[in-house]
Amino acid sequence: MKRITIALMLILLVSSVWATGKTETVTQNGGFPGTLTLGVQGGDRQAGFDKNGKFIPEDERSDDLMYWRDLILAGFPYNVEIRNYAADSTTIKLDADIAGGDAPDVYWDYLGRVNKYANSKYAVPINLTFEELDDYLPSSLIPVMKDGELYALPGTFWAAIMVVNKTLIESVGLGNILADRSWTISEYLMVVDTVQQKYGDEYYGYVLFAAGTGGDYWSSFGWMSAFGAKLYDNGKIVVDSEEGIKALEFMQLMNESGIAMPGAAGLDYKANLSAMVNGNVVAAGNSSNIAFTPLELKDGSGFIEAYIMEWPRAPGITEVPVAVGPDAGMVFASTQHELESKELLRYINSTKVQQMICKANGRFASRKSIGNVVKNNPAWITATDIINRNGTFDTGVGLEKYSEVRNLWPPTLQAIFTGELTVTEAIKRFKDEGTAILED
Amino acid sequence: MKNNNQLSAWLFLLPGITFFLLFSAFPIFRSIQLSFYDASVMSQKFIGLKNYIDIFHNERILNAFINSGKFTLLIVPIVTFLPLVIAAIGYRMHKTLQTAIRFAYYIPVISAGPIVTMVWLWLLNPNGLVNQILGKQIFWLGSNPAAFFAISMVVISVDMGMTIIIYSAAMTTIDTELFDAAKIDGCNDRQEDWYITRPLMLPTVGFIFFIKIIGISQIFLYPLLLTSGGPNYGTNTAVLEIYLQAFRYGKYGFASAIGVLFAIAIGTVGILQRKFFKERQ
Repeated sequence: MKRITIALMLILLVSSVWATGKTETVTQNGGFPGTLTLGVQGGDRQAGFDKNGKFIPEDERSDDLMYWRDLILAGFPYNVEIRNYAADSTTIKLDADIAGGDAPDVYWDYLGRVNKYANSKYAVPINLTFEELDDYLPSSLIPVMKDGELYALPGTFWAAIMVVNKTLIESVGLGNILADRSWTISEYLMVVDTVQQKYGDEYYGYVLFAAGTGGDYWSSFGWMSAFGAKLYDNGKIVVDSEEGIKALEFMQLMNESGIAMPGAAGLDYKANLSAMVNGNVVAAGNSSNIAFTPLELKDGSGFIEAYIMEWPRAPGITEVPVAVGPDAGMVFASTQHELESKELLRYINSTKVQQMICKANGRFASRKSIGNVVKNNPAWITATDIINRNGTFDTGVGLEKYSEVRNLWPPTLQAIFTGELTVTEAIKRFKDEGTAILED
Repeated sequence: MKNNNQLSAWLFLLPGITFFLLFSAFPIFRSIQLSFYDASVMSQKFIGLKNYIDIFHNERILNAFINSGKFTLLIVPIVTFLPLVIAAIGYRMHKTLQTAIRFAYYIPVISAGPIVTMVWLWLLNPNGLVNQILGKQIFWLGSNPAAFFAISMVVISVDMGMTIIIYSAAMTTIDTELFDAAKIDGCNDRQEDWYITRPLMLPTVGFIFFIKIIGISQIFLYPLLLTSGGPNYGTNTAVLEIYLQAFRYGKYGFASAIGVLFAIAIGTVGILQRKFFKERQ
């Protein structure tokens, strides 16, 4: 028995050694004898799809990297070793590889992580022709430009959309307000008031949540946008504008007056996700995918229709930009195969591959040539229309120290929602601490 | 012969010394060294005392030190003395009941932190069991100082089990003849506890108090899992800040400087406390 236990422990130990630092090599024969290395964040971030783009349920997926191996790189002609850098949304594993002189040739990930390296210190500039540049949405290029040079290519992105409980709103006779998917803050407040009068105080207008950074784009960025406020402008923190103060004061009002679900300082994105299926919330930030299919209520009492809307506009505001989160790719300056690495980057960011990614994941395109490839998805079409009409909101994802500054935002909201600081004091603290980080 | 003995002594000590040098002495030395550098995984630049100066100019980090102190002040006396009372009560009970009490208090100790956290998240939810029992809506994890007390409550519940076991074991080493003699002299249970158990348990209590100060002041897991140091940094602690600086922001030099200052603070408290208990003994 003792021997069996020791043997089992040894097997566990050995297998755990093999399990760490997992890589996958895609072998192709295309004239380049070497092997390129591609760093990605595999695992849950990318849904599992086979080479035909068919969705594979989680328990049937063979491994974390099948998406990259079977779908994305299937048509690339050279050998590619894929490295999975998934590590709690940090770049620690990649940092360690760079420190050890073993950076991958190409890195493709969420721009919030890529941008730490997409600069003259770590990356090679990418030269695009005018025609190629013209194919990108201008707003998608801004976060990847440094000192006039392009150090990364923007890929597809997700978008934070406002989703309303159409069934609830129609039940109080105000469905007509939703007609053109655009409304004002006074219309929104009237809807919330009517719902609360009819159904009681346990029905809320929104779920503000500030326990952590996860989902900040759903919780607060939409409201900032609704008041014409910005968090960042040209890499500087500008949230202390008149619009910024107004937006945060409005969120404070929602929190104090019972419009928002109570306890916002301690709620996280999970509270937001479950709110819509509880059926007692007028609106919430969410992904567009939630709309256009009947949503079953958590208690099994029926279904509701989730409906995409723009965030309500404050007086004088005509456009409400949408918070988006792009992926991006870059080539490390340490590569021994710059030419081939750039080929790989261009391949991943090619119209054909990006179309595949958009189609498979319902993501939005940063290249015009990708076109409308998700034609059969009305949620995607509606969200795209809203993005095209309103533009995008700068979440700071283009900053090199994005994650560090981003971590200052939840405590700022918490200070406001708990009443420990005034809006002005909280904003000043955010700006002072954030600016110190950015200038360090 | 003497030389042979010395050689074999050194050989026996070698694995222990190697282990100590590699996994204790070197990391401590390296941390102190790093604290004078602007160090990330990818680069290191000597900056002298800048990290230390920055710490004293950073209100959030100073506040994290104060929060660690507050947690220590509140939790340590409770997790030192309450288990003593429980162990003393249990000591007079039937063996089976004693085992049952120890087992009940020990369950949270053997449970993984994240599992305990999940249970408490459910209990402390605004609509959770705790609020239902109290008949109030307290935002345990979303308001101050409720979050501080909520985390303290969780730590106390998890931390007491092992101490009860240690106290119970220590009590069984007290010579029962002392209790018999006291009974003959007419002592009641309370007098026995005060005049026999208390003084004989004092060294164990002193030891527990010492290790609890060191352990609780390093409070990290539950603030991280329950509140991420919030709301508004209300439960942010020194060790949580070290973790964030090192593993979220990659500022290993700065994190090391916080660690060095923290070690000095804890070391000082530890020395003072040892001195106090030695004098008492």
